[in-house]
Amino acid sequence: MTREDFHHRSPMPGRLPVFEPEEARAERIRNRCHARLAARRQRQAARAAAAGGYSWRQALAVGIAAVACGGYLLEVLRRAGEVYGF
Amino acid sequence: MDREAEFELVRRMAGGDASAFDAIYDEYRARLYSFLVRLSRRREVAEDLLEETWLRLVEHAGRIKPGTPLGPWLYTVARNLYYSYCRSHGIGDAGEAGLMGLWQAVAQGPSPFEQACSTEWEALIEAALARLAPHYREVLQLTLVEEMTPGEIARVAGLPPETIRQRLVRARSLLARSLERATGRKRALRMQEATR
Repeated sequence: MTREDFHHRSPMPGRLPVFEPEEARAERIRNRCHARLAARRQRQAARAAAAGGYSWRQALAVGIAAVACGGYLLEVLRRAGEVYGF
Repeated sequence: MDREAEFELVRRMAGGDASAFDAIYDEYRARLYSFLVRLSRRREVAEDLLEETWLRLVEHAGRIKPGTPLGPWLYTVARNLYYSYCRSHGIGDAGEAGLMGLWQAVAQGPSPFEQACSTEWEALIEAALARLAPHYREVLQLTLVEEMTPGEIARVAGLPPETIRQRLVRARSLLARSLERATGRKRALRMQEATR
């Protein structure tokens, strides 16, 4: 074979065979990756739930503070009214 | 698969979608394994490195930036894992390669007729490829099998494109010379048999 033959018959894309890993091994890899993805889904769900819980508590705290402040302000105004005779 | 579709799959996978992983796995598994098995020339090593490459993808999927081509990303990881493996095991690239019974595991190939015509030629190419140094093997594979440009290979190998171009020219020439020698030997053997 000459060098020209080689270039003429050069192994074009797809000409070289593609190999597969052993089926059992390929499945094992798939299963390991699926397991990691499932663990990630769980972590993400737990994180989302934790984030949801935090905002609910935060909203409750803000609400309680707002009610307390509002009540205090109303009481101040009521007493001011009594003092000045409104 | 175009780059946007690939990135969409990566994004879904980062969210834990196993079907997105399967689509990527089915697309790249055999190609990546072929790359690793030709690079390492050892089936078990190639399978271990393949597994590690996929686990890395699952782990880092969320950090892959939009527009990153997935193929070169996977080959970069696989290649780096192979060289790390060589370093940690003190493996050089000495020694003649056997073909490791690669031919029993062909997943996709030509029709039986084409196979009959081309098997000998392909076996010669495989043997010649296996005799090359790994840095020549990888550029040839990425060019001839994956159709990557020197620029893309340069990104995979972390080298300037000019270096890759030079390697490619050298690798082609070495492969051609090796094939010339191999076919010359075969012809001589056939002539010997014929004259007996």
